[in-house]
Amino acid sequence: MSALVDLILGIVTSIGGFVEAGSISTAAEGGSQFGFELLWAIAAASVMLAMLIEMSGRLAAVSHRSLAAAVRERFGIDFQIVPLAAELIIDILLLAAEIGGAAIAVTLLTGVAFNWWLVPIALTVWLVLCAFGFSVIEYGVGLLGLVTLAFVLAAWRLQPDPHALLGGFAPSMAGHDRLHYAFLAVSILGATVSPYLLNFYSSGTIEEELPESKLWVNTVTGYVGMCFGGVVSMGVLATSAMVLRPQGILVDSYQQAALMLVPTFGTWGVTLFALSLGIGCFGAAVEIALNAGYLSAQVFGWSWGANKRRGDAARFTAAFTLVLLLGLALALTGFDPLRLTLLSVALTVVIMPLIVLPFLVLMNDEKYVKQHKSRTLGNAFLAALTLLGCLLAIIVIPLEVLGG
Amino acid sequence: MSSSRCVRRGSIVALLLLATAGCTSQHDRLRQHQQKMQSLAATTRVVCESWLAGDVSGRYASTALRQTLQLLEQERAALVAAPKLLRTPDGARLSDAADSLERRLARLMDAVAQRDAASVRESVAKMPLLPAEDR
Amino acid sequence: MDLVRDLLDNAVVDRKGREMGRVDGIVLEIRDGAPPRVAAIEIAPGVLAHRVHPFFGRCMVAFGYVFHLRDPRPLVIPLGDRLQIGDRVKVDMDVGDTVAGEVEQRLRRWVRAVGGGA
Repeated sequence: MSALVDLILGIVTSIGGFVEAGSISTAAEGGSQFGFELLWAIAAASVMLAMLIEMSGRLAAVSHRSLAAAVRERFGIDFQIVPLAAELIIDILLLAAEIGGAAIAVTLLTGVAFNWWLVPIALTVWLVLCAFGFSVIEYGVGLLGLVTLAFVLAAWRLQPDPHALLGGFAPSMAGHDRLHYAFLAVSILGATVSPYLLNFYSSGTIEEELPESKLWVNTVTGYVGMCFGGVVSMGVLATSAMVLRPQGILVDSYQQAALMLVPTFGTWGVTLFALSLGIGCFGAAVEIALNAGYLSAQVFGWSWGANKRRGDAARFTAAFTLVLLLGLALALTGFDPLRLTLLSVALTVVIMPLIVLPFLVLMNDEKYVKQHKSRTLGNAFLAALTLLGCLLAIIVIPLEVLGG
Repeated sequence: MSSSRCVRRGSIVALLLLATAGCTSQHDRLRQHQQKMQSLAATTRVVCESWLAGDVSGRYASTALRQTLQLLEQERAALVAAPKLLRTPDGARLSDAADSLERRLARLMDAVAQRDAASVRESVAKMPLLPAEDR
Repeated sequence: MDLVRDLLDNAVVDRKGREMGRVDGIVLEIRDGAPPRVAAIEIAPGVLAHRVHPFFGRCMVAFGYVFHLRDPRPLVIPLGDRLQIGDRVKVDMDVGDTVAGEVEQRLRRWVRAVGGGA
């Protein structure tokens, strides 16, 4: 395909695949409780994600190694065992939350209790992983996920006060429930800058064989795609702020959040919310499970690839199957998917320094990025994010206890 | 700074943070419960009004009311677990409001299942407004 | 050559370019009156786990016996003509002749039985 088609598809699928259980739950809760005051958190997290995604893609295109493989080679198993184990545990938690979120979406449409949908959804995720190659998985999820633009449309049609909306982009401390506000701000960061996205994107860059000469495609896709994806999250927050907050509804469940699209879309409101939640969560479950396979295979040097016959990469297939089964088992225990989501995003923040720190070394190592090293701004950003990550890692668990 | 001193200081900070988790004022906890209760009452009202207007299906309304009932049960359990709160006049009123909302939710769920719009309309109109809270 | 940076943990491929694993360990030969010499590379989950902690290394060896692997001892490949060290380490062997290949074959039978070789 031509570079332009690659670029357009990359941006479109980044937008469509951006929103999932974590971003919907944190944005909906944030909007219902604090109005537009957390828009700055989504904007900042989206920019951070865009920069890290671009670096992941650049690393993969130049070195022909995924992020996980590069970390194993450069830092050794002694370092990597901690982020690897933590990432796999978080992947299992996230999978349970995403499978649960998709099940709730089906419940919203059918009325049948969500427990009945957990196994069929997990089975469908597994069948998609076994039957389709990388492009079909990525583009299929991304294109179907464009239904989430309903949130952006709703926010626009509700005609927000421009002054209040713009004010939300200035970082501030809330006038009430400050601990909960801080917890949500940190959770938005954890929900947006998910570790699985970074390795998944770098693995995808290798699957699609992006050449070094087309690095500009990676740059534009990373920045434009992720930033526009962030706009969808902002749409969720803004719609929740304008619909649920004035009615005194504090989002504690997806069923409550579904009401936010009713004033704009009438009888289609709940259906559109359910489709957005369902497709977003399903797509994320597919990507998380696939990434667990990538992670295991790349760290241990097994054969891997969504474009290979599953029998030709049997350990890779077994790895993503096992992680999917463990995620399903956790979902079947009955934990509330919304609570699981908030727990997993908090744990994501705890390990963030270990995810970001390797970038600081790899993106300046000629062996991996040749002449495409990070410039001063990129290095300053990575250093600042590592320090911020260390600070947030210390305070996120007490924040969850006190303000969660 | 030696590592053992770092560990000691870190442990003290962690213990202080955890200790403060139990020190949220009674007023703040009561306010949080009140906000949650208001939210659940508002959810009930909005779901029923949307159903009456034909904006949401009976399937969704039943699901949402059932979930609201579960959340209400969690709130009641949290209140019961804090007897000191229940002994205050505001806490007692909140507990009574939770009982009343629970009975109303059960009636509304039946009425929606039987597509009895008149009963739903009457029940929603009679829903008491909980004390307003500045947000 | 920087052994830790350029050899340890690098990807290993067989003569057909198929993944064999990673360099999990390096065997050094200690010689009297001469500097140590790299004698061989090791590929084995037990060696890798031992680097994290000896307890995990023993657990991995035990798993090998429990699952009746043909030979759970590490694959030791001496430095020489059979080994080419570059961006990846290329070995003049077939991955099917190794324990990793045995595990892959066993799992392949399961995957094909369940998924029909999709």
